[in-house]
Amino acid sequence: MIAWVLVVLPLLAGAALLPRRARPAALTVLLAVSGALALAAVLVALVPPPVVRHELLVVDATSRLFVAVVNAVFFGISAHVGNRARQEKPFRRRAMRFARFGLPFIAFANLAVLSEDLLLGWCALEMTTFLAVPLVADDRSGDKLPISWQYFLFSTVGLTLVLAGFGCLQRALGPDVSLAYDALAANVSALASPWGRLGVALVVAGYGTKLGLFPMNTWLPPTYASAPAPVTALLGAVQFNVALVGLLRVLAVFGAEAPPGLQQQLLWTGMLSMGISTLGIVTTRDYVRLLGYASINHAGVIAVGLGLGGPAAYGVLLYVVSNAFIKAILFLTAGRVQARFHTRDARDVHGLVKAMPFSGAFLMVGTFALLGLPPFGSFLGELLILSSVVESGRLALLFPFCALLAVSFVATGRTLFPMIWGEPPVSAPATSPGRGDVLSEVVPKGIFLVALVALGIYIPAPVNALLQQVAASLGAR
Amino acid sequence: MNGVDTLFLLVVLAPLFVARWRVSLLGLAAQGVLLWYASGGSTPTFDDAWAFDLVDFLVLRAGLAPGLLYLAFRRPDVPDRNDVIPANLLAWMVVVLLVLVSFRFAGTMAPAGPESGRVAVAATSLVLGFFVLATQRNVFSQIIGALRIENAVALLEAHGEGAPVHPAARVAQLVVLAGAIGLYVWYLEALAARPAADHDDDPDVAVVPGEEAS
Repeated sequence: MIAWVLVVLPLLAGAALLPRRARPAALTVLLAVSGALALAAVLVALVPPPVVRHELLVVDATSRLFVAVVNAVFFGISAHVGNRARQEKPFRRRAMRFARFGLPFIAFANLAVLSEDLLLGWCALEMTTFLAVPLVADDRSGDKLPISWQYFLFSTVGLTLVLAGFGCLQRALGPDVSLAYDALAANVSALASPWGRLGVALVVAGYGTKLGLFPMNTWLPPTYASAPAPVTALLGAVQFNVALVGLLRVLAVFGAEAPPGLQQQLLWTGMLSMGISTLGIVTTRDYVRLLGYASINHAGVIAVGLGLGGPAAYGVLLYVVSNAFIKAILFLTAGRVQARFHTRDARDVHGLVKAMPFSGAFLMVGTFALLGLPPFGSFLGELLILSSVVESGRLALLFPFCALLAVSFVATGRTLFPMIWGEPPVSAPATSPGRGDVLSEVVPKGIFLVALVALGIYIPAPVNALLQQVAASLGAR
Repeated sequence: MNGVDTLFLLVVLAPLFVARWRVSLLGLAAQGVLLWYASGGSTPTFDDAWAFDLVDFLVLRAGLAPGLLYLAFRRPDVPDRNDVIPANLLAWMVVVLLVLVSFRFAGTMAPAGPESGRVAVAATSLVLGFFVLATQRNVFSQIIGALRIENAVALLEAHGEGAPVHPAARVAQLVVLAGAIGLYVWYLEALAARPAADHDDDPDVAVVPGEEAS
């Protein structure tokens, strides 16, 4: 029942905001609904029912974990949007647009995570792409329209590849088997056929496009750099995880017995994505674009972790959940910085700690987490993946993996840290934040930060149990 | 290879060599009709699956997509000629090679029977769709490439054995297809309406920028 609420409530709220006369209430509705969704999703995650299967939806460990993550992040983004709309008048129009499209977006994101049927989940993910298009295109100024076209085209073609993969899987399974997860798991031997292997490869490549994996990743940095900050956070921290769930569902069918071809595909695309993104991180001076490259880098690490199979699964999940919070913190903070300094060039931004104390602090701590330093969950996740590389005996992978991480570490720090220190320019003088800022801007990011530290130091038992269940579905012992 | 597959291959290949935008749209419409025929639509059963196929193949792919794109692209300043692949010998050789590779691939995946032809034509259509996307920077041709890929996937799935698909998922799939067509048309109009200074040297279409464009 509550699973349907997660889908239907934001859909109805989005529909209610369509009439022009309802628009003044858009931000209130956005905050109320996103808060209710976050609460409901956390309840679903932490109060463990047995696996519940409706006709179309499944509430299992994977859907519980990711529904909680994406709805919590969505609430944080909504609070940020509401706060900025109150403070910056020009942002108000953008915020109302976010409410109109963001609510149905999260409805379809929840449907994609909760869907039992492969095809329905695919449709829901495609719907999130459609709803993100007007948000990415924004006011159509500058290059926003062609960049949003690039995003749409790559997403659609990538997801069509997934559909082609489903077609191949259907051929492998035969006409009597539906494309539901349990049906796939029950017929896993059929997936060893050439059609089955081709189908899985296409599904991985297609979902990889949405994750920003090599080779279809060129859409990501310009899209993330061009879209408004809350939309970038929505793409990077919500849609990314929804696409990842699609991939995890297919990988979970194999458990610990992933075919060698699939492992190789994940390892290669992961390493190449890390290589390409590291090059981008080294060369760019645009701090938002750098975060986009970092997102590709993270997708690469996740793909490598998934390619290692079961032993790395727990580390991958820690890394994924941590990254959702890190991206939300950093993209939202970068949006604040851009609004104040009117530039995306890191060389023109100084003295953030003085000019914008909260944003400076969040950028600093977020960058530490992004770089995978302790005590954050990303550190533990990365460490577990790295130890799985060693345990698996793939020592040829170890050196390039560590080298790429080290180079991206240095290059990210070299670009982002100088923004924090020094004297702020006269065009962006120091200000003291008001009480409203603390409540609606700092609290959600602060909660994300607490969650990040908790994931690295002490994971509460229910969360740990949930992570272990999802890891077990991916073959972890 | 049966008659429908042969015709499908023809309507996939012909618009590549007849560089007219109206022919490209006609090719898409013909693909929709042939998909409907290949899925068994010509022998009406009047059940859910038949109705879904009718809407999917005849209404959306054969009618709505090429029709709306025609209305959106038909402007006095748009020249008749529109290459969906580069008009040179190398590109034509690549097309021939891709067709050969696709047929070879089909021989491996479905070694015998009528399925081999269907797989070969679907694979040909898929890789040629990607070839169009890879070689074109103008939006109209990219839309044609994307729709060709979608039709190729539909042909791969249209093997008439009636795999069990939940009606809700089938309805959602139709909504997604209609949404994609709507957005293609919107982009075609919106990008063409941008100020001339924002366009590339190609007069009738807007251009997707590369990395430099943020």
